[in-house]
Amino acid sequence: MKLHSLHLQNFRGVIDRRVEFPKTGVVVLQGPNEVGKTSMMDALDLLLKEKDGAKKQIVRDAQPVNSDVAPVVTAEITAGRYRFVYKKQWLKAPATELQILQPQPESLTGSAAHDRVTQILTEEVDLDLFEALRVLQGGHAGAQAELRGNSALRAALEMASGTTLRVDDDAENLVAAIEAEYLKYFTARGNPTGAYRDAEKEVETARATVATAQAALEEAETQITKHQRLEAEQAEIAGRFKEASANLKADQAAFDSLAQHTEALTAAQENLKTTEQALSAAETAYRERQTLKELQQQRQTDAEEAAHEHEQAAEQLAGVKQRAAAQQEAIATYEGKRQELRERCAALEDSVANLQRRTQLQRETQRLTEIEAAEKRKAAAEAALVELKVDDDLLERIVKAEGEVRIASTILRDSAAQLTVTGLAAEEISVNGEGVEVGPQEPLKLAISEPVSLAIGQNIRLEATPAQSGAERIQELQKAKSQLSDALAAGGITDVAAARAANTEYRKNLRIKATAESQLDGLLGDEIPADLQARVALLKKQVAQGGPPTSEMDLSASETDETSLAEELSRAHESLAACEEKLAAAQEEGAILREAVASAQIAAARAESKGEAATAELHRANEDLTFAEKQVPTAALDEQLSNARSARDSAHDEVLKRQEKLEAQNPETVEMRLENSQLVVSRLEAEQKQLSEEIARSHGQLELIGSQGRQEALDEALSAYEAAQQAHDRIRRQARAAQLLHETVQRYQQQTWQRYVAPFQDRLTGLGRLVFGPEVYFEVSPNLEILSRTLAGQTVQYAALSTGAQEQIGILSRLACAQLVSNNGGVPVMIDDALGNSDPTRLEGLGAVLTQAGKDAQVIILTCTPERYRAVGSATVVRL
Amino acid sequence: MRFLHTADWQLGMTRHFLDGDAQPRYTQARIDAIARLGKLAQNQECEFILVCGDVFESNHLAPRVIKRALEAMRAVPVPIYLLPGNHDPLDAGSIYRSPAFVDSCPDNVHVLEDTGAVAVAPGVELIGAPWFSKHPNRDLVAEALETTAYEAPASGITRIIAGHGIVDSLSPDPNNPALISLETMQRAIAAGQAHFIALGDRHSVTDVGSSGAIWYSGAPEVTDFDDVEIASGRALVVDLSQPQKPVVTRHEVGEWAFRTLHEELVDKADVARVLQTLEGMTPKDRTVVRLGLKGTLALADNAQLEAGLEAQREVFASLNAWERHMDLAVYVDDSQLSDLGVSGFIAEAVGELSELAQNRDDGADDDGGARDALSLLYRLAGGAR
Repeated sequence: MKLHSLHLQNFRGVIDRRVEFPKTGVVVLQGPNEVGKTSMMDALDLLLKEKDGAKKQIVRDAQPVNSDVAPVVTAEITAGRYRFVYKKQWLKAPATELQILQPQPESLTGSAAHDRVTQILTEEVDLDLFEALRVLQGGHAGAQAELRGNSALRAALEMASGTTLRVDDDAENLVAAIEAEYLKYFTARGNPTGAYRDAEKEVETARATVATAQAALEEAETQITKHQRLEAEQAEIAGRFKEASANLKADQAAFDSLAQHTEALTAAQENLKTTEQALSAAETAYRERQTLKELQQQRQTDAEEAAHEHEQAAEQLAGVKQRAAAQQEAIATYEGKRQELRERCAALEDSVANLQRRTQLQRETQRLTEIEAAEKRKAAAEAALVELKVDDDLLERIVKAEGEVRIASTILRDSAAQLTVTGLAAEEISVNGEGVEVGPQEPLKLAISEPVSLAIGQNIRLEATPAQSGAERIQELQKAKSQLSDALAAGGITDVAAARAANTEYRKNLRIKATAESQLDGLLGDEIPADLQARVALLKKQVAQGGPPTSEMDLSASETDETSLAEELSRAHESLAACEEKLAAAQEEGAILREAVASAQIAAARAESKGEAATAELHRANEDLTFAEKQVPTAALDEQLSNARSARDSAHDEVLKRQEKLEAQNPETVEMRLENSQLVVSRLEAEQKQLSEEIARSHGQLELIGSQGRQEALDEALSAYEAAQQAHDRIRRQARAAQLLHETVQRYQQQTWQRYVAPFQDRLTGLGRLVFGPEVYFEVSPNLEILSRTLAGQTVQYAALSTGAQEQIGILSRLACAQLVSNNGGVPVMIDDALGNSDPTRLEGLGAVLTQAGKDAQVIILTCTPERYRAVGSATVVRL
Repeated sequence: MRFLHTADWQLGMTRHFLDGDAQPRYTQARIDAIARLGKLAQNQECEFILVCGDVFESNHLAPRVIKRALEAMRAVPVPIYLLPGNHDPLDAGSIYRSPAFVDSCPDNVHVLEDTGAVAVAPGVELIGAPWFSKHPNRDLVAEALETTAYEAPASGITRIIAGHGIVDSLSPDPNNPALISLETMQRAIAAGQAHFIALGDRHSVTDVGSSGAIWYSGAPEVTDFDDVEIASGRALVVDLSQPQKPVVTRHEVGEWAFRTLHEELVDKADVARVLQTLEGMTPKDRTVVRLGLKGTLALADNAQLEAGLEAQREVFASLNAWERHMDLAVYVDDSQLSDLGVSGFIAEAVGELSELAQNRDDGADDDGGARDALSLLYRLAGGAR
C-alpha cells in the first residue's frame, strides 16, 4: 500500500490541508504542536474504516470544535494492483466517492464505494501489518511491533526463507502433546522423573534384595559343605582315636618293664659310690704318709744347702775388704802428685806475666816517639797555611772576575760600529792622534766603542762616536776590572798566574796537615798522649821493680823465651788434668768397693740366719715322721689301699652290666613313645570334643536355615526383580520413545524457526549496524519478537535495554519489516514523533537507517522536533 | 503289577517372568498336580507312585511349602516313594531331614535314603540311587546296580531301579562324572538284573535306549517353553505284569503351557493372524507366551499390533516380547503422514524417525526407539482413534 496524497478539510483543527507523498522515500511532516499532525493519521484511519454515515464518537471528534461543518478526507492510494482516489464526508451531507484509476477505471459512490475499498484492502493489504508498523505518539515507544500472524510479512518471510511455517492449531496441539508426553518421563533438564524414575529405583531395590537373598542362599550352601566336612573329620578322628588308644596301652606295658631294670641299676650305682668313697679314704692316708716322708727329705737338703751358702758368704766378705784397702792407698798417691803439679803451674804463670810487661813497654815507647814527630809536621803545615791566602774560594773568585773582564771587553768590542779604513795605496792615517799605516792589504778595522778621531791626510778628520749603549758597556767593563783587581789584592798577588801558583802551595800544606792528623788518630786511638805517657812511666816502673824474672823453681834459659814458656805452662796444665782424672777414677772405684763390703756383710748375716732356721725345720720333720710311723706303719697303709681298689673295681663292673641290660630295653624311646601316645590320645579327645561341639552348632544353624526357606526368598526376590525390570523396560521404552520424538520434533521446529526468522533477522541486523555499529546481533524469536541484543560480545535481554535502545530497536524492526514486504504489497511505516530518547549519534545512525528503508518503502514521519530527523538524507520535508 | 512313574515335581519352583498374580497360581498348580497323579494312580490301579528325584525345587524351601506338599501326598491313596535328586540331595541340609518334613511326613510317603532294596509290593523290590550332594563324582545308578552284586533277583521278584540324572547318550558334556551309563543300564536289563529303570531329571518324556525298560517320565507340570521342553506335563503308568516286557503308557496331567510364538509380519493381515493365534490359545490364564516378531510394518499396522497385544496381555498368565528374537521395523509413507495431518517441521521430524525405524538389525543404537517414537506420535496425533 502506498499513500500518494492526503487531503483534510474541516478535520479537527485543520481547515484545509493537502499533502502529496512521494512513492518511496522518507517524508517528514514537520510542524509545531497542535498543528494537526496526528490528525493526518487519524483522518486516514477514519477514511479507510468508517462509513460516511457513522455517528460514532470517533467520527464526531473529527468535527472542528464549535463549528458545524462536515469533516472531509480525500486520499489517493495504491493497494496492490489498484490505484484509486477515495473521498468521504461525514456528519453533514455524508458522502463517499471512489475513483479507481487502475487497473480498470471505475467510479463508485456511497456504501458500494466503501465496500469496494474494504474489499480491495482486504485482498491486497495486510492491515494488521499496517497497524503494527505505526509508531504512535503517546504509545510506548519501546513496544515491539506485533508482527506475528501478519500475512504479508509471513508471506515475505516464507518466500525469502523458502520455509513454510504452518502455525495451525493442530500442529501446535501436537507439539504441546509431545512436550507433555516427554515431561511425563523427564524433567526439563532431561533427568528421569515420575514413574520412570520410580521404576529405576524399583529395579535397584529389587537388585539389592536379590543380592541379599543370593548371599543368604550361598551361605546356606557353604554351611552344608562345612557340616559335611565336619562330619567327615569326626569319623576320621574317631578312627585315629581308636588306634591311638591301642598304642598307648602297648607303650605303657613297655614302660613298666623298664622300671625294674632301672631299680637294679640304681642299687649297683649306690654300691659303686660306697666302694669309691672307701678307696678315696685309703688313697688319702697313703698320700699323706708319702708327703711326710718327702717333707723330711726336703728339710734335710735345705739344711745342708744353707750351711754351704753361709760359708761362701764369709769368704766373699774377706776378699772385698782387702781390695777396698788397696784402693785407698792408690788415692792418696794421686793426691800428692796433684799438689806438685799445681805449684809448678803457678810459677810458670808469673814468668809469663813479666815477660809480657817488658815487651809492652818497648812497644809503647816507640809509639810515643812517632806521635811527637807527627805533631811537629802538623804544626809546620798550619804555620804555612796562615801565610798562604789563596784558598780555593779566592782562586775561584779571581778566575771568575777575570772571565767577566774578558766577557765585558768582548761585548764592548762586538757591539760597537765597525770602521774599516782601507788605503788604496799605502798611507798613514792618524787615529786618535796616533799614526797608523793602512794599505790595500792591511785595512784598519776599528770598533767604535769609544769616540775615535781619524785624520786622513791633512784635510780630512773623521770623528766616530759610539752610541749611548756603548758608554754603559764601558762602565760594565771597568766594574769587572775593578772587581778583579780587588780579588787579586786580597790574595796579595798581582795576576791570575800568581794566584794559581799560590793556590797550589796552599793545597799542598793542607794535605800535609791532614796526613799528620790521620797518623795521630791511628797512633792514639781513643787515648790522649798524656794517658800514654803515664802508662809508659808505670810500665817502666814495674819493669824496674820486677827486675829479672824470679821463681821458686829453676827455670832453664829457654824459659826466658816467651813461646817456650807458654808451651811449658801448657804441658804443666795437661799433666795436672791427667792427674785429676786418674784421681777421680780411683775415688769412684773406692766407693764401689765400700758398697760391696757392706753388701757382703749383709749376705753373710742372712746366710747365717737361714742356716739356723733350716736346721730347726729339719728337726720338726723328723719328729712328725717318727710320730706317724709309730701310729700306723707304712706297710699297713699299702695293704689297705690295695683292698679298697679291688672292691671299687668289682662294683664298677656290676654297674656296667646293669646299664647294658637297661639300655637293651631302649629306655628313652619307650618313655618318649609313651609320652607321645598319651598326648595323641588327649589331643584326639580334645579334637573330638571340639568337633562334636562344632557339629552341634552347625546342626543348629542348618536347622535354622532349613526353616527359613532361603531358596523361596531368593525366588521371590528374583521374581520381583524380573517384574521390576520388565516394568522398567516398558517404561524406559516409552520414555525413550517420548524423548526421541520430542528431541527430533524440537530440533526440526528450531531449524524451521531459524530459517524462517533469518531474513528478518538479517534485515534487522543490517539496519542495526548503522545505529549500533558493526558488531551488533539480534536474537529473534519465532514470533519475530526481539529477545536480546548482543553488542561487542555482550548480550542484553530486550527488557533490560534502555528506553532509548528499545525505541531505536522498535523502529528498526518496523523498518526491517517494511523493507521485507515492500515488494509484496508493502505498507507505509508511520512514525509519529518518536526518538525522543535517542542521542545525536544514534539519531545520525537512524537517519541513515531511514534513508535506507526509504529506498524500498514509504516512510512517513510526523514530528514537531524536526532536528531529530535532520540526518535523514533523503527526506522530503513538508511543513504544516 | 502297575506303578506310576513320575519325577521333577520341582515343588516350590518360581518362574520369574510370571507376575505377582500368575506366580501363586503356578505354584498351586504344582501342588494340585499331586492330587491329579494320585487320582491317576488310583484309576490306573497302580500299586504305588515313584517320584524319581527333584521332588522339591530346593532344599531351602519354607516349611509352609513342604507341609502343603506333604498334605497333598497324604491324600494320595497309594504309597509314594521319593528319590532325592540334584535339587533336593540328601546332604546335611536336606529337606528330607528337616523338622518340617520329618514331623509332617505321612505314613504313605517314603524316602529312598540309600541303595538298599525296598519291598514295595508283593514280589516287587525297589532300589533307589539317591543323590547325597549336588555334585556327585560318579554314576549313582551304576553304583546302585553294584549293590545287587550284578545278579538277577530271586525268581519271581520284579526289580525296579530308581535313578536321577543325565544319561550319557543325551548329555552335551561327556566329561560330567555323574553321567549315567546307558550301556551299564542296558546290560543290567538284558541280564535280568533289573526289570525297569525309572529316571528323573529330564522334563520331557523320553524312552531311553532300545530296551523299552529305561524311561524318563518328564515333569507333571510344564517348567519351560515348548521349544525346550517338548513333552512335559505327563506321567507314565508302567505295567510290569510281565517283568521282561514292561508296558509304558503316557498320561497328560499338566494344565499349564509355556508357548513360544515366532512370526514374520509385513502387513495388516499378518497382524490380524498373530492376534488371532493368541486369541485361540486356551486356557489363557495358564498359558505363558513369549513373542519373537520379525518384519516391517506400516505405522498404523504397528499401532494396531501393539494395541492388540496390550489388550491380550492382561488375559494371559504372561505375554511378553522375547527381546532377543524381536526385530520389527516400522515405516511411514506420505499417505500416512497426510492421514495424520502432520506437515511442516513435524513431517520432517517424522521423515527422520521413519528412516531410523526402517533399519532392522541396526545395532543397539536405536533399539526400536524410532519405531516407538513413531507409534507415540501416531497416538498423540490421534491416529489410533
